[in-house]
Amino acid sequence: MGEKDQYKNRIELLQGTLDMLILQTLQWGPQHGYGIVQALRLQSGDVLQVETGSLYPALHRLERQSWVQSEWKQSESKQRARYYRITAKGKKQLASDLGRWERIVEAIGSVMYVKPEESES
Amino acid sequence: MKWFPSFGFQRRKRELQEEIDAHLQMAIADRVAQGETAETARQAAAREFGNIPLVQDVTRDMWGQAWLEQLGRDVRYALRQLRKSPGFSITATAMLAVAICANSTVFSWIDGTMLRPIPGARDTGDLVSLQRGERNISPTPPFSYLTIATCASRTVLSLGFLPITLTGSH
Repeated sequence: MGEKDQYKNRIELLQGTLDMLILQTLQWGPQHGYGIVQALRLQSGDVLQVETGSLYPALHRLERQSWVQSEWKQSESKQRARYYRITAKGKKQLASDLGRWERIVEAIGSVMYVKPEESES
Repeated sequence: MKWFPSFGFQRRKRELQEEIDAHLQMAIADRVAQGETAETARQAAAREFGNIPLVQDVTRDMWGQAWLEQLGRDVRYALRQLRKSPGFSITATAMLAVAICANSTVFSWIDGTMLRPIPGARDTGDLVSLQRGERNISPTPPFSYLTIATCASRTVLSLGFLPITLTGSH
């Protein structure tokens, strides 16, 4: 039951933000798919749950756009896994994604928090 | 039998399978470390991961060569079907051959007689035809060039006793 309640608090990812979140996660160091899911879950306080059906297509797409590179490595627990690393091109993309995201947040914020005296005038 | 060089497609497919296996293994290991039994951990990890073939499918779509794989599969399937029923294959091929021959024959005839009646002549649409007597699709006898030249130089449109009919755009 406790697990179910946990899932209730998770929200669907806004379209287009997954690439940005993945690139941001990879800024902290090379990571495999499972690690990215865990990192996003922890960083968001269990709110963001990335579906594998979105994560792996996104990772492979990012690799094709050469925003990330991948290589097979052993994890600390001796598990062979594919590690993704952000490239210089990816960092540039992340910066532009972040700029766009901030503009969206600002725009939505200015719609949602209109001061009463402004809306009446 | 390999008919289609799939540009390392099989290798990438294997790698994706391995990547997903690694994901599941790590998820199971984490759950076991948190005190779950191996069996419940395995089930929970698989449930959390979702539909594995579907994930593989949508991931492969990102490689941009899914259409190539499908094309290869279709071609192989078609060739297999043709080999399985040679009678049908031969009949179909023969019918196609006859039909194509008939079509090209008819077209070259139409092209030669109606579309380009005079070999080597350009702008046949601008040609005029001169004929004696009543208007007729196949005038007899035809005008000779000399007669027409005479007509043009004298700007006379009647010659002898017979009226001349001019047809065409000029």
